[in-house]
Amino acid sequence: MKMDTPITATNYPAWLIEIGTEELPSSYMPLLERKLQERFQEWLREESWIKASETCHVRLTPRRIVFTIETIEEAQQKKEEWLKGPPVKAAFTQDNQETPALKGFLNRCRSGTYEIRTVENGQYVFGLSRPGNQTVIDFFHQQFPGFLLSFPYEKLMRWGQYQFIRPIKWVLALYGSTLIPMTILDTDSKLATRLLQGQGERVVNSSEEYYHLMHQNGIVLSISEREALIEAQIREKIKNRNLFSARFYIVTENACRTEVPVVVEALFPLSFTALPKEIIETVLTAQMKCFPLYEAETKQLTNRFLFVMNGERNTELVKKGFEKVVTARLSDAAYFYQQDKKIPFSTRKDWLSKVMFMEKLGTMDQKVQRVAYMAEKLGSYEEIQRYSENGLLPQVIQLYKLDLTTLLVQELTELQGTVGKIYIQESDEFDLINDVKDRDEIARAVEESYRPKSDEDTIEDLSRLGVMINLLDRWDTWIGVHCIGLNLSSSGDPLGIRRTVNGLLSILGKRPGTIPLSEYLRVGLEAYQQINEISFDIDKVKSDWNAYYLQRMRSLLSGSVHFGKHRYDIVQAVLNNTGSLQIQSPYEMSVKVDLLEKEILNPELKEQLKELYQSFIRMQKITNVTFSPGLPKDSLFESNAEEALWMAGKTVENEWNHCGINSVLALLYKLNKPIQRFFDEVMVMVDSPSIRENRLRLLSWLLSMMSDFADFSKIVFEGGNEQ
Amino acid sequence: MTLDCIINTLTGFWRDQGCTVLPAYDMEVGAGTMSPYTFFQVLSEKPVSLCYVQPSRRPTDGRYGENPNRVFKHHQLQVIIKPSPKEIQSLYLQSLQTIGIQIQDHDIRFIEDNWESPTLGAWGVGWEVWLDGMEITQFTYFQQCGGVDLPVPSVEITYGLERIALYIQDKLSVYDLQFGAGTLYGDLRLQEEVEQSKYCHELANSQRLLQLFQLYFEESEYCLQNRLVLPAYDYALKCSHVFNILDSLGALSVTERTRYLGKVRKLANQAAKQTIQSPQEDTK
Repeated sequence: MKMDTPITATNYPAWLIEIGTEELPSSYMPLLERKLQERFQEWLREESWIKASETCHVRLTPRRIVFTIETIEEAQQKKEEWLKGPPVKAAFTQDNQETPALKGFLNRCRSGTYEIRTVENGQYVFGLSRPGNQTVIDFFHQQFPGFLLSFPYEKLMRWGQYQFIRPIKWVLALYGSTLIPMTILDTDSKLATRLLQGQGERVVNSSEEYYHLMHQNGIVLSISEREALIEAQIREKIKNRNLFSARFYIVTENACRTEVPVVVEALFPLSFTALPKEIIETVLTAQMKCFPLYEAETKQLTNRFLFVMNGERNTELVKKGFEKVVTARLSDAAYFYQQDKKIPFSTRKDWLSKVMFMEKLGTMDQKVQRVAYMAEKLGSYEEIQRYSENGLLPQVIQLYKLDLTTLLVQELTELQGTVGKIYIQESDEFDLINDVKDRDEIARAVEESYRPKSDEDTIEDLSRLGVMINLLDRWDTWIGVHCIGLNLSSSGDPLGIRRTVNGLLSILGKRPGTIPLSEYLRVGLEAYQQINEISFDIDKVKSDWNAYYLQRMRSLLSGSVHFGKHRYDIVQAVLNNTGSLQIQSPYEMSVKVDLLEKEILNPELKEQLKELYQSFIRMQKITNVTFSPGLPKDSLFESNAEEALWMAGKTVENEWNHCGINSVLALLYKLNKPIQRFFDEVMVMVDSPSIRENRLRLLSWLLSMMSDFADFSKIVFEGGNEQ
Repeated sequence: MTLDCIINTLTGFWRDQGCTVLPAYDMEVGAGTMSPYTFFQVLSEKPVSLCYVQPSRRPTDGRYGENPNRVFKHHQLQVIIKPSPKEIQSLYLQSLQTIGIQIQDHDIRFIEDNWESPTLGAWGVGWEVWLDGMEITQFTYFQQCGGVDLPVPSVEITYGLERIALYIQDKLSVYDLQFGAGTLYGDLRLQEEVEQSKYCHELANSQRLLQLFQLYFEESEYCLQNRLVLPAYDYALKCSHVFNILDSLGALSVTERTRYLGKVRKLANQAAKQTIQSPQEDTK
């Protein structure tokens, strides 16, 4: 198969470097391609080699990282100038040695002269760059290895005395038809590349030759083009055949595992279609990265599937191999399914005490008990009450972890929840659930207790019972990790806590609910004390919890599938609400951020917000003195403006409690005029201590009320925040 | 090609590449990596090239001979080389050619898969190798062993011999494989699978095994106190095997399981540390 690359005959890049490696980790490739591309552009701009970023690219296949620049001057005149380098903190070690960051910077300056200067945001090293004429070849010969190796890779490995993402096999470095000599770790650049694994080396004298070679051999250099190619081939395979394919999320994985993607159709024995379809889908997609095929009309799973092969091979042979593996895996799954079915599902309860939940947090049996405890203690809240009364929630709690003891889930962990659902639906042993409708509802909730499975998974379609078990389960995990003082601030997420909490907050962001966060927290902590009998410092746990909550919300509101992407200053303003004693819910935060952002982007509405902001700042400044706190007294008001502001404040306070969170901002605008009038007519810092204090108390009371909504002082207005 | 011939050909290939071909280590292990030939050899900077076939016992995988792919005991061919040759991937592909796998015809891929052994305090970075969708080899650059950062990472290639034979002989069940001319895998091994599964899942006496674990553990610690790392490591392997049987019986509670695993790891880590320290001790 030959495909089109985006390069046309006229625009072969002038400059090309290909780093050949052992297979890159596919899970890291999409991020790596994007980040390297950004850094590469930045670097070339910093070094003044390019002006427009679209002329340079980084593309990845499993075996190569290809850097290209379409047009580049043969040489550039460098003036002598002082360049800003790394901050002092990053430039020297504790014993005052130069760090690799500083060495790299000085190498770029090529003069060795540097000094430390204090600028706006701290102390930085400035280096003097050596003037002169610099050729492309000289520059990249000297600088490219350093650029490549100093990139902060998230996945690294060591081999020999070296370290990189994976071992480097070859380096092709071209400018026009000239070799750019360089050595990267143990590999010297050559005018040669390699094709697919095992196909040997080919000489390359120009980028035109390189692209021809790749094209002839079907090697597609960028991930997105391989994705498009796979999708196009899938469409072609099922065209006019009354079939459809799904599970497109494995397209990227396949594009990162192949250089020459070729889609092939294969079969598994028809008898396996008697298995629950989720099992077959998981074997095909999660284990084998294959695409199941469905009948278009009935949506029934067929015994056909598509897989992606790397390069033109003996298709029949490869197909036979894939079919054999899929068949073996399905027989395994069928065996586990049959074995599981021999044991009545509900008797698995006794086994939960053998399944560990988390080190120091006990077993799954204890987790189930804690969740039941929380449900009982929160039972008077509307969303729990309805399911406690009809008995569905207690049943879900007793059943939702049982599938962890099945062979199927032990073998195919992706199926947790789903296996529970299947076994509940298929079981005839539940005397309590004789109503088919109830059984379906319970089975569905058991499966939904694991949703969202990723940050991208949908949550809008979850049932209310599913949401409830989901929330209780996630709260329990989240509270637990704080009880044992786990450090959640590191960048890794080995226990999946970040995903658990993001899922929980996303659900709470969409569904307001009636249970305050503080109640979940209180009852969750109580459950640990009662059931696990573990002791902890409650205040510390609460403050750790709160810090992590705000950190997660900041990240989610700044950009996520379920909360959208919001302005940094507005997120800060909402998170910083200092007035309230009540913890804001994710739903409230989400509404407030939306409201503020809508106002600030609308030129007409923006003015009242700005007025509120200015009042806020003014009140903040003026109350920034010492005075005894408390409410103002009517008897000490001397002017109508004071009286009017006090009354307006009272009205807002009363209405606040009755109107929804959506109307609060409009309510606060009602304060704009009275505040304005107050400042026009009233002098706060008068000589009389009692009058002065009374006025300060009035303003401070208003300020605290406004802060309940947001810290308006954090908002940044376009064109300046002038007052 | 029979299984014994596959073994012969692959070991012959690696011998030609300079590897010393060793007999299997004569104790129960869960994986070829646990053999002291690998565990101790990877710790130093000294070059090493070894190759051996290691029977690997995994009691939890015992299926009474009823499952065509999963067995109590399978065979791994282990190659361990340090420092890793630059063209190690090509060498590996050439080794497949010698047993009749024409690489141009097949879809052979290196799929990201990092390896970790909590019992040995060891982990590495690498791939599982897919042959037309079937995982036939684990290919790993060792980064740490016995809790110690390795000064020079070794490359470890572990061939799953049964899987490869299933492929080459085009069979669906391991028991139908030709082990040697005229000898079926099932003839040699089926009874062992049935009995070992029965023993490990049902019959083993957990009280006695717990006592054995404790005795082996103490003996290992005793050896470590006397700086005899190799006997200590042998007893750690004994502990590991007994632990695996207890695990397969379902005789360990969750917390106990973690604790016993931790005990074996502790022995392995100490053995590794003493091995690294011993040259300096000698010079004192």
